[in-house]
Amino acid sequence: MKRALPFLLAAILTCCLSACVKRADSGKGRIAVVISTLNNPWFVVLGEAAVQRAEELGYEAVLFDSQNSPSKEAEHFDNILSSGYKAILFNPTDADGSTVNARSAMARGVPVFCMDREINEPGAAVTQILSDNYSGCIALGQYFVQSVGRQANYVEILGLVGDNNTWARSRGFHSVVDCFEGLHMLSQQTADFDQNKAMEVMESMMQAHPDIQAVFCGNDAMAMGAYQAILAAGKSGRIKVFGFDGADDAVNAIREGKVEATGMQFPKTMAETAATFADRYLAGERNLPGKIPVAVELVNAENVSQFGNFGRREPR
Amino acid sequence: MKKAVKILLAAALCIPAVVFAVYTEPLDAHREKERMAQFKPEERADYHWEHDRQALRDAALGVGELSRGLAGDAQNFADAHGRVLGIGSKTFFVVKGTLPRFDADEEYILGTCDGHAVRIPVKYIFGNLARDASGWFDIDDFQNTMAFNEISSYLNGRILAEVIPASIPEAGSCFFCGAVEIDPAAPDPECYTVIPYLLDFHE
Repeated sequence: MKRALPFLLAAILTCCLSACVKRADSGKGRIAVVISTLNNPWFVVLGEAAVQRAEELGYEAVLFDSQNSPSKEAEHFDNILSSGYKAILFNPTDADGSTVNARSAMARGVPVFCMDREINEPGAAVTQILSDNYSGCIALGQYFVQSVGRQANYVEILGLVGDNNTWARSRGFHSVVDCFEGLHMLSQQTADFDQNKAMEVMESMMQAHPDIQAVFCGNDAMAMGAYQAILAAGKSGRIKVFGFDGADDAVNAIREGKVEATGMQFPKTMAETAATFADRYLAGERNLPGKIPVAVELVNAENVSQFGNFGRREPR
Repeated sequence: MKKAVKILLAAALCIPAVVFAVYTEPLDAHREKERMAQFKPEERADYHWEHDRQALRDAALGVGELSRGLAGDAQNFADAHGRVLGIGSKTFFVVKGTLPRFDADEEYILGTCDGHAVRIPVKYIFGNLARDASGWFDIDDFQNTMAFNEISSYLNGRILAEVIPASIPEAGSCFFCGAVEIDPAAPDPECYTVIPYLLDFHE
């Protein structure tokens, strides 16, 4: 027994070492997933889908929350760049302000892939995978006119003013509704994509304008906030609510007749594409497109049964 | 010793002056900036509008050809003859045909071409369809998506101003060449909505 013991220990040690070596071989390194905020379920889905896809591809993925703060985002980039990450899947806080972070990462050889939100310098990221917000809001605007009619008073609640998505959505919507002279926008205010702020903004808008018939919100969190304010004011059913994102609570609210329509973005598609592109880039591929728009689909009472869980229920 | 100090002092003064006087940037970034500075989206749109509409007309599918192609393997047909922007379910085609007779209301010209209902908007033209079906523009040439979308507004404006006549003739036939979007998963819409690049009326 005593003679067998050293052989047994050696065998165990060999097994442990070979396991370590195998793990080091199969691991492709770490990928950082930097998300503008995890205070909104839509972005949680975006971040988690990116992490999941990166892990499926053999990377260790770490999720960072920028809390909608460019300075917090810059801190994350400092940490990421000093910690040997291979790539960054990036959902920026600001189209201009975040450019410097992406650029510095690229300059240090860490490729950046933007998801959902855009940065205003094309070369500062390898690829930007973005929702086609403008087209999505054109479809939403056309449905708005169909639903509200050509004579109505409405208000608009905008997202973060530094984010291109805010303006792409607003411009897409207005490219339609502004063609109809009978549609009057009584007020346009920002609520930073935040549900609680949107509730407060909607309350003050209803006090200032008792004759609002519809509200267009730049995302679903704000649409739900606006709906809460409308409900509290006893005006549910009299003010039609339109959102954008395709978040589950908004899709359920459409099903229940509380919200009229939303634009379904596909966060999982964007996140998975970004992770896949990062993997292809790290494998040596260099001819990746600079920007990839992802189509947005209108969700309303007629087709809501086809949607849920931040996408289409059935794979197409 | 004094000479060494002088040299050191001179170096201490000259080196920062030289370093801060010269601005450097990566060649790729410089070329990208130069390309962006030279690119004028509306000029590009004007160029294509003036020079390439005839080529679109020549290459356009007939309405019958489109509907027959989509009635078979729609996805294969779409891949071969259509355009897709990014990731999405819609495919864009350029089609042409003649409405032997048509009706017109305030918003549409309505008729039938090769057995398929066609409507052509004449009052409101929204969206990116004219831009995306044409294949004239590459999103990567634009500073951001807002600039890319502005091209659509610009093109739609030119269509309304230059293609749609101020008064639609009450009778006759109408030749059209325009953009249409189809979802290959639902390839047989009741009606093709065509955003026109060209319209030609005959009594």
